[in-house]
Amino acid sequence: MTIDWTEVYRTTFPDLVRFLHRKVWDLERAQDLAQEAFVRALRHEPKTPRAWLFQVASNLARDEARTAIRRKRHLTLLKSETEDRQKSMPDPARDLAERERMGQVRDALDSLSERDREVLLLWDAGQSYTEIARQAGLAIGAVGTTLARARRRLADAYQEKEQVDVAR
Amino acid sequence: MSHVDEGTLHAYLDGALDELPFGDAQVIREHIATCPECSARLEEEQQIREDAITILSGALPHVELPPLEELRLRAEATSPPRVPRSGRLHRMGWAASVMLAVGAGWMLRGDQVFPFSSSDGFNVPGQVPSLPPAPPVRSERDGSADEPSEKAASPVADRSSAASVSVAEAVAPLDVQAQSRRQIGDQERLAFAPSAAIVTDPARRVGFQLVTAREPVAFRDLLQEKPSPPVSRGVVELPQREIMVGGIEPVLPNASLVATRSSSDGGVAPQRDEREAPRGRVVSNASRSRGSASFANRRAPEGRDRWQDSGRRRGGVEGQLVVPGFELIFMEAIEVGSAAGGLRVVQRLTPGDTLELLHLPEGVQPSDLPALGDEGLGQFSMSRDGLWVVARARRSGQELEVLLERLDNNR
Repeated sequence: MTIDWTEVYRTTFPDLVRFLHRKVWDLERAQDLAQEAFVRALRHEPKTPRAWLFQVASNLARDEARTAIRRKRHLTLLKSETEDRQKSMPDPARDLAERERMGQVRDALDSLSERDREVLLLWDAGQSYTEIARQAGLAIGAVGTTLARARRRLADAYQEKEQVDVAR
Repeated sequence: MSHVDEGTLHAYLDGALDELPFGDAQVIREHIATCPECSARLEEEQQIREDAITILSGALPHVELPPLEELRLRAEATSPPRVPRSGRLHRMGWAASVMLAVGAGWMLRGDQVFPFSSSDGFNVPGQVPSLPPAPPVRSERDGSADEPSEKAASPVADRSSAASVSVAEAVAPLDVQAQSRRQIGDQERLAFAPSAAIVTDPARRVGFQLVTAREPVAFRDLLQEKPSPPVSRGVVELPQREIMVGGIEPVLPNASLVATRSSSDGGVAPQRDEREAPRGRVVSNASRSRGSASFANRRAPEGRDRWQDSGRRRGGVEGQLVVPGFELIFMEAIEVGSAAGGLRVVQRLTPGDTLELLHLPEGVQPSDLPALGDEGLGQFSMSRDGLWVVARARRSGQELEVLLERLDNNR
């Protein structure tokens, strides 16, 4: 079966970047890792490209965390800050609110266990229960239960964070 | 039926009931529709699900799609050479990126010795774009990095240097190799395995092959699978003026240079000492000096591949060739005098500090090697089944002994 890579790319790349972004919290790095995953996929031509891409992306993100490349991240942060300053000129209040919301989401996700977070992010990226089960090493019947728990914890953690911020 | 659990309710909300292996999805749907308790819980779970979706949508970055064509080009540029899927290489784990450089017919004159370059990693500068560079080694004497050694100024080294020019010219078009590095932590590594290349220089009768794979065991299998080519006086006849990029297979037959020559190939069998040395026992300690002359050897079965043979005895060659726990920078086949079948292994001990292991050809002893210069290098030799392994590094003999024990015990 011939794979329509243009279509796979169009439909999967954005999901892959979002998935990676919530793991590495650096958009530029997430884009780099997603591209790297696609380059590998184009080389290997897997039969199920979408599932394969998410698996590779997850591994890349994990490697990224393990090797802890701080130098580039630091540079990226500096760049982001510059960009943020430029962007903030027209509407600083809106950008500030966006950054705060992003921080709250990140904190809420960080409060989940690694497996719950992985399952939730895979589901949010559009993966099926079958694909999630395979990638997370779960029985397919456990995916719903894991998602239910992850969603509840995420909502609770986010709400708590909001209340704390309001109290300030 | 009993009430539906929350996991199934979420699967229902996600439209994934049909993926579940248990129960009848239609029965569950009907139950949820008719059971007031489950319906109430469904509403509750639906609210949680929507909250989660709203929260996650608060961290949606704007994604730009780079042209797919760019990624295709990158993929093509970084594709390793294709080998048949039936090959054992495909069954290997592709863990680390490692390169083997197989030098063939380096020296024609039997009385000359392959120019070991114990301190600088690679002795063919032209390969640097395609090979992980050996780190500079600092001299303990003056602290300066990469001072040209006495060997580098020797006539032998001059010839290798001259030969490297043609290698450099030949490999130069592989620009992509220069882009194949990426930073991982503090180390620069190959992001992919560059193409195989074979370069010959008929004027100097020099043959050189670069074969890539990603872990030592792959090389072992590649080398073992290929039949030995005819060998005449320790020199493999390579195609002249042939530059070939992108194919491993036509290169590999020459790589079996490391095999022990058979008695039928007309080669000169190396002199062997018939005395037996206990396996694994350290016979010679020649720290910071010339190799010891106290040498014992045992005849290997005629015509058998040394690496194959060793691998069968110990259940894995890679454990014998490389000290476990240290990054392998590269391996290359070597000849000492007229004796082929040696292997030089360079590993990284610490950043900027390498270990050189010389698996000497059958019948060659450490004292046959060129003497160490005053480079602060320590040397330690060990005989295993009559085959010598020499370790060199900026370490004491005692430390090298420990390293060789690790090599011997594969741990």
